[in-house]
Parts: sequence; structure tokens; C-alpha cells
Amino acid sequence: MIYKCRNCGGNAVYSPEKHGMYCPYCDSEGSAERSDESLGELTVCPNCGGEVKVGPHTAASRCPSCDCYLIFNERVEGAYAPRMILPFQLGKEACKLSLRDRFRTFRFAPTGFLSEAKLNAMEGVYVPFWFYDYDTHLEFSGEGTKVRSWNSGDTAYTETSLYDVHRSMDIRFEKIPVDASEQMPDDVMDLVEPYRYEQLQAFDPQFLSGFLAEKYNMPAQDLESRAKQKRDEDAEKLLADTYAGSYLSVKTQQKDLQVRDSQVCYGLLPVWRYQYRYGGKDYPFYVNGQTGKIVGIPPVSTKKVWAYTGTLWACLTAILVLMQMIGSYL
Amino acid sequence: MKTEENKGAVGQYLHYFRFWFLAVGILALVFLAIWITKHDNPDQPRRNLEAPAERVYDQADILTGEEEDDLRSRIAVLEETLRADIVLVTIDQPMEGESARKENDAVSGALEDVMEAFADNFWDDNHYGYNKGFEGDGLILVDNVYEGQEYWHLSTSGRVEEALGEYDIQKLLDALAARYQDSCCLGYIDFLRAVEKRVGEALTRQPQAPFPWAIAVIVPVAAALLYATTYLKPPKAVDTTSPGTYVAGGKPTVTGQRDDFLRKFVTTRHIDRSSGSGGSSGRGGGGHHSSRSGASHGGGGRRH
Repeated sequence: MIYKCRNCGGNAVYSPEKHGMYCPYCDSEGSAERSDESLGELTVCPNCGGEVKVGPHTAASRCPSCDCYLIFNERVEGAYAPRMILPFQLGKEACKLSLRDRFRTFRFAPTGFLSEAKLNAMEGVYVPFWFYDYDTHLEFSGEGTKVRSWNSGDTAYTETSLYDVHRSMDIRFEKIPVDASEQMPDDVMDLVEPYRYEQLQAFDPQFLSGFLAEKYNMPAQDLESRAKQKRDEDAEKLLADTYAGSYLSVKTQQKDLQVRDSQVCYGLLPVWRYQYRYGGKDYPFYVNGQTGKIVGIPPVSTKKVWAYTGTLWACLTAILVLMQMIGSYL
Repeated sequence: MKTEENKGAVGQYLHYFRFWFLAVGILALVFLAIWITKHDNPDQPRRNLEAPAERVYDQADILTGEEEDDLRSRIAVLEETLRADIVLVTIDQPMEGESARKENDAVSGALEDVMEAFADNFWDDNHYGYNKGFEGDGLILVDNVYEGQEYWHLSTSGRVEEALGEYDIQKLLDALAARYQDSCCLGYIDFLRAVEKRVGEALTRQPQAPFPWAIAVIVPVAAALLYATTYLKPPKAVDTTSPGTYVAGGKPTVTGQRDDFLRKFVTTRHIDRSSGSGGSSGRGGGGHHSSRSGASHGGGGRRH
């Protein structure tokens, strides 16, 4: 499907700044209408007939010939229909600012790293996520140790007290996100989190217009182990919070996390992706499309390292030598 | 595009180091100004025209006319070499006690203080000094032959004052004393030879640097390494989720909490107390002083 402008026929896209559909060709808002015309093949652009590269999991793409954003119905409907979507809240310009602000103080990045031309190539991608809910109950018992020390005369006293520690708590985990994209590195997606879920909306394909998107690459059960791991780690920390500061140490005797109910649903979360190539190597950056949180390590320009470090060394040497010579004359 | 990027990079670089460049520029200008003011020009003629031409004042009348002329010619040659005034004064008068103190405006009536004041005042009142008439470069030797108050005082000024330390002063007086008892003129000649050697060496000696040169080498290298290692670490993203991020309400509902005391035990340890003591240090000093006219002088003296 394509969203077209009723006024000019141009490709209407979702604008994060305007929080609605927008036509970049005639500047009209709310004029988008869905067009489901298809040429039968995914790889042919229904707008211009040009060839479009479509991967096995691509749900939305851009035609390289006419720059039209295409949404593939069969990959956003039926079994692949997301239940919810978090529309981009951060536009490309805001994302550029965010990147520049973040790496402003990193002196050794190559000169063109944050150039306008390079940043314009940045793409917004909706990443498929599975969201896991767990209604759990945790029972814990352990032995806590408290230690008190004091001195009297020439003797140091250490008093060790032992306690029987019991905790039971209900923990309702909601929407633990696990990315379902092979393209997106898991550790990077974990770092891009968290998203504020209050802005989640029921899925509407119009949010995809203007961006790239994938459908889930693997089913929910294949990824549940990651959700369970996150759940168990968080439960452990929440439990530790209940006795933190009271005991020097707590030795676990019994711990039982019962899952009373669990659910899973599928949704899309927004990520800006910026790929910078330097010295024959790719440096990918991922920006949370809602909060602006940035994940990625910039390259280091050896030329700049030498120039800045050498200048600092030369200036400091010159200052000390001049001070030395001035001091000699005074 | 590439040129614009390079221009931007150069602008960024200049902006980043602007205070460093400014500091280097200011220090270079300060150094240049000091160098121009203080640097010695060997071809520069004597600038102080206020002082009298006389250098040998034999008020005690212990030298013959030939000896005085000999000393004057030796001093004239030496002054050109060292570019410092050299004055020799002999006196035969009481230099101790209250009246001597008052007459010379000395800090006390002690022989050494009155002699010091006499030498300083003689130098200042006559505006001696190779380069200028106040705190100019040079030295004056005053020899008192008054019975019971025989005393030499050597007073230094300007660059000579800066160049000669306590040790150098004593060495010059040692040279004077060596053959003085045979003939005072021989003593003065030996003294002038010693002045030529010791003052000449001291004036050509490299000025004392305020801190070791190694610091000027090591500190910039260490700072540059620290800078490079600090800035080579790019900013990294950190995990900003908390254990409660995906928990309804942000925290669990605690349905049961019990902390029952089981038992306790106490262990003891003997504290081994030992004490130490510190030391003390001190330092002495001496040397420079100001004369009646406010000029700075160095020097020292001794009985003979």
C-alpha cells in the first residue's frame, strides 16, 4: 500500500513533529489516503514500476526510483499484524541535533562524522518486538548477617548477628521487550530501551509511511528465553532492594518464582539508524525514536589524535620553557 | 564539500586551542620584553655618566702614587671586561660606636654594620654602577686600617650582587688576605685578579632556572598522554533501565516480610598500639640588604 496526498498525488508520510500525516510535496496535512494498488509482485513499485529491493522480513521500504514509501500489506496483516505501534516521536532534525549534542565533546571523531550530508542518509526503522507479560509471585527465605564493631581499651570487638529473612511479593511484569529482528543486534536494542509505553497506540499502517519496517523474524516462543532472563534478573534485583542496607550479606536458602499467568503480543518500536563508514569500516548508530537515546561508538581519527595531542604537548612545552626562561631573567 | 569540512575542522581546532595559543603568545611577548630589557649587549658603551671617573680613593694614604696608578689602570681594564664598576677605598678612621653609627646611618654601632653602611653609602652617593647610577652593576671594597678596627668590607650591586653568593664573597676576601700583610697593594692586585676570575665566571654563568628542566619535558609528555587516553574513550551508552522499568506501578507488591533474629556471637582481637616520633627541620639564610638610599646591595666583610 501507499499513502497518497488527495491534493497533489504525492507520497504522504507520517510526521513525528506534526503527529499526523503530511504531504512533503504540497505541505498539506491530513490529506493522506490509502492506495492499495499492486502490480502483483513485491519487488515492483506500484507507483513508478521501478524495482524495489525487498528482504524476506521487509514490511515497509522506499522505492529508490521515485522515493515513494511502500508498505507491504501481507507483512502487516493477518499473522503479521502488529497489535500496537509506538509512532516516531523524534523527527530526523531532532535526531541530528541529538547526535551532534552527544558527540560534540568527542574531539577525535573524523571531521565528516556529523556532517549534514552524512546525517541526511539516516533512516527511520520500525523494529519488530515481542512484548511479554508475566504475573508472578516470589517466595524467598535466606540467612542475613549483620556485623557491628567497636573498641574498648586494647581490645577490638566484632559482633555478628544472624537473622532468618523471609520475603514474599507479587511482581506483575508488563511488556518486557525482546527485539524480533535478526538485523538488529540484541545488545544494542537492549541499550536503546527503555521506551515510554504510554505513547503506544493500536497499530495503523499509516505510521509506517515515511519509514522502513520489518515484520518479526522469528516467533515469540523462540525468543522467550531472553524475556525470562530479563524477568528473573529484575526479580532478583527487586528482591535485593527489600533488604539492601539492612544486612551485610544475605545467603539464599530458598527462592521460588511462580508464574501465575503470561501473555505475549507483537508490536513495532521506532529506531533511527545512522551508518557512518570510515577507514573501510562501518560504524552504526541507533537512536531511540521516542526518547533520543543514542547507542553507538564513533570512529577515531588518527590524524586528529596526533594534531590535538601534539598541539597540547607543544603548547604546554612552550609555556613551561617560556616560564623557565622568564623566571631565569627575573 | 571536502574543503568546507576541512575549513570547519581547522576552525574547530583553532577555537579549541585559542586559550593555549593566547597563553603562549602572551608569555612569548613577556619574554621578549624582558630579554630586550635585560639582555647584555657586549658592544654597548658605558651608560652611567653620573659617577666620577676616580676609582681608587686612598684616604688612609697607604699606597704610593705608582701603586694607585697601577691599580687604576688594572681596574679600568677590568671594568671594560666585566662591564661593572670597581671602586677601592681605604680609610683610617674609627668605625665603631654610636657616633660612627650616626655618621653613617648604620643599623647598629658594630664595626661590620658601620662598615657596610659606609661602603653602601659611598657607592650610592657617588652614583657608581656601570649601567646606571642607582643599583648599577659593580662592587666596592672598603679597607679600614684604623688600629684595632682593621676591617675589609666588600659591597656588591646590580648584576654583581645577583651573581655573587656568600661563598664567592668569602673567596674574594681570601684572595685579598693572602698577601695583604706583605703589601696591601699586592693584596688589592690579588683581589682584582680574583674579581676578574670569579665575577667573570659568575656573570657568564647560565641564569638559575626556577624549576628543573626535566619538568618542562616530563609534564607536557605526561599531560599529552593523559589527554589522549582520556579522549580516546568515546562516550558509550549505558543501560538506563531499572529493575522496575517493566513492572506494573514500577515496584512489586510485598505481601510478606519477616526478619527473625536467630543468634549472635562476639569475637575479640588485641590491638597492638605502637607510636613514632617526628623530626624537625630548619634553615638559615642571609645576604642581601638595602642601603640608606633604598638601593639593594649584597656583600660581606671581615676583620684583618
